[in-house]
Amino acid sequence: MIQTKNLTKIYNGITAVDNVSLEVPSGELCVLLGPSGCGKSTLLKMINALVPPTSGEIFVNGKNTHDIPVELLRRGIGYVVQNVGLFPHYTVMRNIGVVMKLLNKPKEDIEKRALFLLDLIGLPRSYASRYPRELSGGEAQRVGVARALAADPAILLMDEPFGSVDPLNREHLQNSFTEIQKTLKKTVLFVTHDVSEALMLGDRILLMQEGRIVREGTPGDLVFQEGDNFSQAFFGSEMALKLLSRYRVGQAYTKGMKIQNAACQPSRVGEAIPCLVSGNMPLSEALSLMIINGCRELAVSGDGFPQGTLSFESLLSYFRKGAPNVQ
Amino acid sequence: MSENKKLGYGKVGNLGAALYAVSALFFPYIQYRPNRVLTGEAYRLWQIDGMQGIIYCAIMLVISLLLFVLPHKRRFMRALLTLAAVFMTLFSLGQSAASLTSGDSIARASMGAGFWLSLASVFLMLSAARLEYVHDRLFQNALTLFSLSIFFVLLFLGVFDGLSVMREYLNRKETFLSQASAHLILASTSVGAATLLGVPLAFALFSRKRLERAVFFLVNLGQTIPTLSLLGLLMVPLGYLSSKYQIIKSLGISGVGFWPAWIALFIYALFPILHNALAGLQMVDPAVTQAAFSVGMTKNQVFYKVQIPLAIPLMISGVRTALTQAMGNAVLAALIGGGGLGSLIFLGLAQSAPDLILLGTLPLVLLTFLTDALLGRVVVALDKGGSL
Repeated sequence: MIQTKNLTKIYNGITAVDNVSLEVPSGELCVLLGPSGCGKSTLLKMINALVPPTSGEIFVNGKNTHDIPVELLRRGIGYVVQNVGLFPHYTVMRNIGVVMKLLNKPKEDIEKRALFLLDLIGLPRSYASRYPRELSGGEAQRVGVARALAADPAILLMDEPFGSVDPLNREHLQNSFTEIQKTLKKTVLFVTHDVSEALMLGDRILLMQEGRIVREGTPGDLVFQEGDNFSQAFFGSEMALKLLSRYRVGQAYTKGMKIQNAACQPSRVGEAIPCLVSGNMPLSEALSLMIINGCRELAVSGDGFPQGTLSFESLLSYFRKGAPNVQ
Repeated sequence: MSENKKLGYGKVGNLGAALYAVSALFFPYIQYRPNRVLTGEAYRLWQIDGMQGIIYCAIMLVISLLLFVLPHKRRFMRALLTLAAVFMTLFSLGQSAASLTSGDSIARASMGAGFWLSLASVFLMLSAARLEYVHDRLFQNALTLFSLSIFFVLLFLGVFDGLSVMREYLNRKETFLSQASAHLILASTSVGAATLLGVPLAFALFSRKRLERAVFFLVNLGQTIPTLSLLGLLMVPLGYLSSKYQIIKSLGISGVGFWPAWIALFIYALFPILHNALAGLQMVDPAVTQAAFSVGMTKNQVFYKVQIPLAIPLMISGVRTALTQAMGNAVLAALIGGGGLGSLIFLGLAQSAPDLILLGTLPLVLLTFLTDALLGRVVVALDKGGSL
């Protein structure tokens, strides 16, 4: 659990963080969203004591961080940043194991854990002996996540962790991080300026403006409830489309239905075929398929989902009463 | 032309092989003088002592020819032939010198333009042969080591004893050895002391911008004074101090001799060492330092586990530069009675005896080359992060 009380940071007379009180319950992925310069990174850095607060208090797992030696505090918090900061003179293995080494864990445990984490983040085990300069940007970012997870901290702080990766790789990283978070259930405070990323990943979103938290809620709340001008402008009018990528076809389709009007446009050979999609497909992709193919219905099957259909109407009714809270 | 139809090394190596043949055929390989100071006559390799010279020349031509006609992929054969070329260049020099001066203790034989050209062409071929093994560090090093050991084995077998440089050496073996060791001590201890001061100083200056500027002003100033002037300038205060204070005099410090030279070299070495050590520390990516703190390292751990290991390659290349520089500058120590190989060189200049100059210069070049190569290897071995 992370908790701050009246946290304030003033740099040379400029208030970067203004009297912020927040709470991230255990196991929640909480996104700090806001434009650059709104103080979200500073807030994050105060939690692991990289930046000393001007006033206010921080509690990590119920303990006031003021009473914990900074090194011990930091060893218990995973921290991932945009420009990774892997140690260039350490192999991937040593980079991942660095916190465990600081905690004097036995060598075999460190190696076992590092290999486990390589599997988890989806890199081949042979990467253990590579040096950071031999990794691509996306691979380095994955190793950065593995390093943060190595000592199995209850808390992860992530500062635009996927910001410097190209869009294709970013989506890949976001997806695999969602999967990892589903199994590990860390308490995560995730900083980003990217609305899509926030809507896709966050259990809860805190919107920051000029050092204050101006709005908070689940992604669905933020999209469906009306906010102030800043909030509306920041989320943009496409926000509902961005929210779609959070949900899967499997959550919104109707089981057992046969396709009524196989209204798919004729394919290039002139024969009408229904579009078949997996239950794991994000709803955003499903909607995109409907638009491309000019159809209102998709056939669903595979990946352990019973057969059925997803129609445009069922998509609308799924969201009719606000966004569902599906874990 | 396709890769496997090509012949010989690449362009550089082929140029070397061509020069190798040219040097053996057309250039005076050896200088013969009836005595130490008279001007002499030049001999081409094949003009020496009937059959002997012709045979050497023929072997060298064959090597050159073979290098040209070998298919490109036979790189191992080419490496062996390169080593053979090294051997022949040195061996034919020693043998020709011996046969020209045999039985005549006053006559002198020294290297001619042909030999130097041959040596240069051998260097070209060696670097070409090394390039062909670009992914095989071990073999590259073996090539260099073999070439060096060919030279040293021939040297210790006395093959070069007929050469005038070696005659000079044999005549003043004692002086040479003591001056050579004086030279090494002068250069290495002054650079060592500069390292002991420079590296901690760099740490002290790191992230103290104003102090850094002040110190670098002084160090830069030392660097801009010509070596010779610095030696002269040091004579005055040191002479004064030693005449004034008994304790300084009893330490052997005075306006002339070892210490002024040592101090001058020390001042010169300080600049590259301090500069590189500081640059090494400053080059460490702030993101990496922050990451080190964020994983829970203490300030000391960040320093010893991250900043120093990442800065060390650049620090050592600073020491390497300083040492190379000091080996050369130490020659001037002889001018103020500081000893070293410079004393042979200046004596040779005074006596118009080029062989004596060579006796001072050649070992110096060789030693500098060796220490430089060695420290270069150390830098590469330590540079795990690949920052250089």
